[in-house]
Amino acid sequence: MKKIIYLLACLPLFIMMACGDFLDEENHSKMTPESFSTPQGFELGLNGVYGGMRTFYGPLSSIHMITVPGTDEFYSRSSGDIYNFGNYTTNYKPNSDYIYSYWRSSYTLINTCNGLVHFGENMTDIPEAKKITMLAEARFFRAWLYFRLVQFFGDVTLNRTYNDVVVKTAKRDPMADVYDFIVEDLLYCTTPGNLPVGPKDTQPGRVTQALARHLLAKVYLTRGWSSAAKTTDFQNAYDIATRLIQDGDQTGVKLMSKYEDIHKPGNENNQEILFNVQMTDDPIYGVPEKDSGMNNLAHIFVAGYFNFNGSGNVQQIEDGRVYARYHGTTWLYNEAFGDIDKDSRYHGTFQSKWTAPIDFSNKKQEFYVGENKYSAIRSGVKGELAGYLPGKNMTKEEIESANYYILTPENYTDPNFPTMKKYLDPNRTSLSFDSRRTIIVYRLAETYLIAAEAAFKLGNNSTTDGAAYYINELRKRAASKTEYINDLMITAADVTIDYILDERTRELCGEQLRWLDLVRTKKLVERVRKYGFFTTKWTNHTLPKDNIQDFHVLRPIPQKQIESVIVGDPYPQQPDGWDKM
Amino acid sequence: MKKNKLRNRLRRFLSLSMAVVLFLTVNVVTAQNGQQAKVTISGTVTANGEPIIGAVVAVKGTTTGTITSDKGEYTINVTGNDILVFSSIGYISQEIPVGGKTKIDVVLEDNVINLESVVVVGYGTRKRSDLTGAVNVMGEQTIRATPAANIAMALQGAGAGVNIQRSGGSTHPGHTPEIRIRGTRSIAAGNDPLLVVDGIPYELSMMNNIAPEDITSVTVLKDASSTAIYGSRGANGVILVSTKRGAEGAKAVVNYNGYIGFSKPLGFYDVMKSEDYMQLRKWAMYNRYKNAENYTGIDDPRVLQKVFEGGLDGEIEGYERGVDTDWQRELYDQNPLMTNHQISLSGGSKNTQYAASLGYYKSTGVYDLQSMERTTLKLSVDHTINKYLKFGLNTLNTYYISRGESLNPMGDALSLSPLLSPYMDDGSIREKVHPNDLMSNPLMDLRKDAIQDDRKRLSTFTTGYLEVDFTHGFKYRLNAGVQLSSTTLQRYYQKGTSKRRQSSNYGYNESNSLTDYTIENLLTYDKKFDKHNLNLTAMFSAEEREAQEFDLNYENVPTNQVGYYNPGTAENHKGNGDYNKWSMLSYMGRINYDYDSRYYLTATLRTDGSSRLAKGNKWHYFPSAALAWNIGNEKFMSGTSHILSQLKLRLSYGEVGNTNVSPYDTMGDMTSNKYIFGSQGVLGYYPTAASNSELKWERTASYNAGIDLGFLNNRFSGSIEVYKQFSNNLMMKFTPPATSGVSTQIPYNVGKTENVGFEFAARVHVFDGDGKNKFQWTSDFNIYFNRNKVVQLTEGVDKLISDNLFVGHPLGSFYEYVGLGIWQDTPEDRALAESYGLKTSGDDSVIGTIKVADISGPDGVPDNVINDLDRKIVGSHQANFEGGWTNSLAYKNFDFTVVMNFRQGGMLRSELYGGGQNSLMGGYYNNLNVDYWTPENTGARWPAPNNKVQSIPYKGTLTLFDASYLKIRTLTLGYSLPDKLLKTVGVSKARVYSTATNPFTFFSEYVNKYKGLDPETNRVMGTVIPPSWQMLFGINITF
Repeated sequence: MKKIIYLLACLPLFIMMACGDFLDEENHSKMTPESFSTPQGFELGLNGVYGGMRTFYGPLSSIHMITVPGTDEFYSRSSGDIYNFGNYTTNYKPNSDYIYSYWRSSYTLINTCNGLVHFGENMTDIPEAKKITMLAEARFFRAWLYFRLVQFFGDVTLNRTYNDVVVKTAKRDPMADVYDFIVEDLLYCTTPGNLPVGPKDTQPGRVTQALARHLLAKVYLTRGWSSAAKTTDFQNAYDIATRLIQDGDQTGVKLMSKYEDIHKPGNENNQEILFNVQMTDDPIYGVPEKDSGMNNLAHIFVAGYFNFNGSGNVQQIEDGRVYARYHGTTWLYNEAFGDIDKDSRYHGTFQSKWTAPIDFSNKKQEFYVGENKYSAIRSGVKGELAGYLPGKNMTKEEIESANYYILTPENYTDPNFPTMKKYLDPNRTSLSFDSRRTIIVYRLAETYLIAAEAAFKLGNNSTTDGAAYYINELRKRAASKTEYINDLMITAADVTIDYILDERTRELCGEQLRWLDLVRTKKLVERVRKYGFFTTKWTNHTLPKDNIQDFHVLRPIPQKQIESVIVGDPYPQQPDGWDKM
Repeated sequence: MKKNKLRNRLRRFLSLSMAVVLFLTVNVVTAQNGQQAKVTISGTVTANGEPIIGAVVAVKGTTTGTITSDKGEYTINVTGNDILVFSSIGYISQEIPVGGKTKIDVVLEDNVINLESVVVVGYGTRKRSDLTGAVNVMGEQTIRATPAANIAMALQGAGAGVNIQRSGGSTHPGHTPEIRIRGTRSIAAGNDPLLVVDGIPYELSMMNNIAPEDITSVTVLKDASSTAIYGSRGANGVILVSTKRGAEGAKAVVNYNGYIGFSKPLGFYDVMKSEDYMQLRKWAMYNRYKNAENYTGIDDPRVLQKVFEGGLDGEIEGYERGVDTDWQRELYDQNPLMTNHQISLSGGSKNTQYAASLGYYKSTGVYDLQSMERTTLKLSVDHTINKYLKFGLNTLNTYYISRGESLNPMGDALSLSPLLSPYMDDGSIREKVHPNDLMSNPLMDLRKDAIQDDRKRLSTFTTGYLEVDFTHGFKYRLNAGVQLSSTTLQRYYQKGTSKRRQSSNYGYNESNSLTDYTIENLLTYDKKFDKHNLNLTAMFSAEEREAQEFDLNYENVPTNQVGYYNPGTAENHKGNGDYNKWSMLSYMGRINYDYDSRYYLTATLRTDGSSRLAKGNKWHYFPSAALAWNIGNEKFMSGTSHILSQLKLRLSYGEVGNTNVSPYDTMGDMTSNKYIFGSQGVLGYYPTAASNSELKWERTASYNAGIDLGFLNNRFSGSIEVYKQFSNNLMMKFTPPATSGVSTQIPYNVGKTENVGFEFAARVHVFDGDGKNKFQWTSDFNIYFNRNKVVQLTEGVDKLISDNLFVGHPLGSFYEYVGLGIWQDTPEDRALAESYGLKTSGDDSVIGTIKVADISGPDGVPDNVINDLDRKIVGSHQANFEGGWTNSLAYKNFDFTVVMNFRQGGMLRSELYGGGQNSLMGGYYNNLNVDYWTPENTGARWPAPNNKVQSIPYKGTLTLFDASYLKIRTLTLGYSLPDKLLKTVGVSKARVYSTATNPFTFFSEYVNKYKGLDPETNRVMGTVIPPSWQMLFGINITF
């Protein structure tokens, strides 16, 4: 009101100067990054980064698309990006939406971390130790985001500082520089005292020193394989990984005693976990309104089990919603797990039993045994066993004698194949609901495999402190019965890089790491050509194997990134392949 | 079938109207015989109860005549056979035979055409004959011709260059249509014109606040020389609305205007009945499984088994019982009512004038849960204090309620299985209508209070002025106005309704407040010397707009009775808020000059400063100039003035802007998200948008040339306009490189568009009678076109497919494959399909699916591959031409008005055919009753049903339709009761009328051939609740 009177008074005089601030903007709706220099604002920004991790892990389009399929383990069905990545089709191009979205989210959060580090240094009214921890958390994420970028893309833009203006230029920096920056951040994070030692010392889901140590070991290991390698890398990786394993009592991070319990619903914060992305059914903080934060992992591995539960089309919450996006390779189903009776990890990975959602009778199941096709009549009662997946072939008589469906490997079809069950969520309220389960990202078992791989690269395959030792520790835990432990033990002579990769499959199948493991060990093209197919008498799918090319070991620089650099030098595409698409 | 319906509707309309009118008819006929003797006649000439000074009283066919005195009196000598002609500027001339009379008093009536000759323009008024720009003027008569909820609906088709269409074909009773003046030009900043009410800018989206009955005139400023005085806001045209004021020296007049009426749906959408639906499902299952199951044909019993497999409760039962539910008929009220009442009082003395009105409008939709209700109260006072000072106040107050805005039951109504009975055997509503609850029974929504969706707005718009006359031609005027509004939007959805399905009861409360004030200072100077007329205007104004929003949603509301009233009883609350403020300072100067009413010059310069732009970019200038030559006033034309009564050439150029930059667009932005650490939920923020200090307003430069013509004493008058507009600096979305870290799309100025257009408008007094004893027929006609094209997009880009933008084509073009019918089971088609690498056998066979042309490939030539490259621009919604035609006939107190509008050419996209109700999947969803392909029915338009196909490939090719139509917008038949009769009951005017709105649509391919109900949309025809036509009965009484 006062202002109106003021205006009225000054207007007739046609004096603009007096009303100079009339055109200033008054902003109450928007947060600004300057708030990061206060402890509360920093907290919000840091939470924003944690929250951002949900967009990488869980949604239908997320990191699983570029880590799970297109490997020796899985190819993809469905259509669009997910199909193109998983099968290296001719439509897998730099203009892929997901590649861009992944790239963009990474840089948005890197910039946020840069902002936190930039403004956070000036925080006052906060204990110094707390400030250091917060800064270390921000730097951890910055390092992690860059680490993933260099693995997927090689040379990438390295922003060390915060930006908030329109930029029209960009360049790619050498991978070695990016690695140096990553290591610098992680060394800060692993400096004793800068972060809580282990998960037990902080809230679930927080970054800990144990996690930073795991990641640093992995960074050294990965760089050691790369063209940016430093001679000390494998030794550093080995030292850090083995010490993290040894420090179990101190960090509280130890292997679970049973493999199957690691991924048991409700057990996502178990003692083996180094980092997970927290989800919950809390209506406010757990179920983001936007699709970008949901957990769709529960659906994407689920095969068309309604074809072998007697119903023909009825799905049950506990068995998952049939998305069937990822289909395992013949190698994954039939060879990778070895003796599936002795190694509990096969049945810890794939679902084997389905109950009937309805009563059914006189349904005909056709099946092959060897070259011959037979059929059997199936009937069942609601709630009873209706479908069984033994994981290995059975005789005609064995199959015929059952009154429920039996799905043997030679009868896998598309979409009747084993469901990778690690992400199933039986506690959803409705079939169509997404999962609210926390998503496991890093766990200590991988630290063992990092130690084993580093030891292998250092030439130490021994069963006492070398590669075989760390692999055997996992196999010991994997034995379905104690009496099988000895059968599962390996010797130093068994260790090859392929064996380590096989072991990674057995231990970490479907855990959103595989593509990077194959790329790191320079085995992607070779192993996809060898194993990247699926065939039975019913189905024949050989796309990944037939399509993969040498340049596929890097993801393409997103077309939009290239197009949006409209000033200065053009942004270079990956050479020798992607640049020709 | 269709024709009969039309005929019946017409017959019903006519008979009803006639009955009402005849019932009230009284004929008064007086006859007089002439005499020859020389007599002296005297009398007075008045109008509106006031004497007319200087009116001409002439003997017809002679040069004899006189003029009235300052008391309106006259005396004249005539013979008994003479006819006297009474005329005065601004009034309709009257001819009266002398007969045996000695005293003739004449009451002249206002001439509407001439009344409109003073035109409201930006910051002032001008005589129509002095205009230099392109404007449409619509008077009270035009506005009243179409009873409507808001002014935009009343003006559809009434002016050249003004295109008014229902957006998305919306049928909500409170819908405000989309207004486009001379087409569209902006890509991202909006194309809405600026609305100015009584001189003060008004929020266009709230046009429903104003009762059309309170409006006396509407001026649409079209060319840049007219709109440039609105500077940064003029690019999309300006609509000036004037509301009623009291008249000087008029006695108090009370006027009542009211109507009641009912609506009728124009029809129902044609979905399949049970039998056809079952046939479709069999085909769909057959086509999906025929190869796997070796079906013998669609009548193989296993097909039927497959159809019902997985079972939907009640469907098999319904099939056996022969249930055939017509869900649409279950849902709609066939005769919703509408009503409008307005009572007004106006009058004034020499020094004080006043006008007041109270109005109430209510209209219920065909769908019961939708309605609009408005109560308005208006008051205006003008007072002259002395010869130096005058002031006035005007206030418009509104309470507005709009219900059911979020509702559209069409999805369910069109898709639900006709095999399901809506009710269970025990009479309760059938709740489960889809095995996975992906549909719901729309009757669930109609249960008492199950859905509440109310927007309530209390608003006031108050303007005032103070005028100081410094004499010597100098005047100062302070204009001020404030728009205040407070809106609440409250929603409650019960579990089980279409809005919630199996989720819990939900509530939502939103409150919005808007404050917008404007203060203008105007200094004018008027000077006449010799034949020079000069008018100078200087203006300084400030405007500030502040909007605040807060909303809250929550779940688990305990009962319907609590509804949205008490969020405290519910759980899981989530809230949001927003604050938004901008301000603007403006300076404007204008010169109007003419020499001898022959040569005109108008020049303006405006500068606007806006808070919405970054420092250093805040101020912009908007110049304009116009020239006119009134050839008709040249001496050499005086001989032909009775034939060519008017001829004026106009030429203008101007630059205007589009301010539609959102506040804070130049600042960076953060995005919020949420996270949880174990059980501790937290809120997070991260920066996502860069600050853009370079952002500017869009700018449109436009040229206009016009001719005003009048023939035969303006028996025929009209104007022709041609124009060209260049819009520059159009805001486009720019995505900075992702590596910058702040890569959210931001607006930046780069695009260009062009508009070229032609407009013709004419008024013909076909029969120039008074409508009483002499037949009167006035015809207004307009036709126009606008050709828009995109000239430039982001650097080096000639198309942005995802934004639907193509250089060289109009905004809103349709980019599609080219459909070639259906792949037939013929050797030629098989060979062609196989040459494209398409399969012609097995599950993926293309036989029976939509066939599209291979028009291009990576090298720009056909490549035997059907892919994205085979799409092209197949059309746009832009019409070849469009216009309106209004005919008003009057005779013996009867009046009849037909308002029509039409458009020819252009396309619309129908969501009806594109949506889920036309999937041809034959699953649990019913389908539009379309002609689909089967091996026997190979000439069908639609492909073979297939249960496997989630979305029909290339379906888009079949959802585009010609958007032409001719619509009878209103038909009105009225009867004015004779004055003699009225005098006896103390009424000065009374008229009864009946109006049919939207009764007929002709020449619409979409309606006539493709079963659409109404072709009127701004581009895409949504699957809307059936549109309706209305029948109204009204009365208008003046005391």
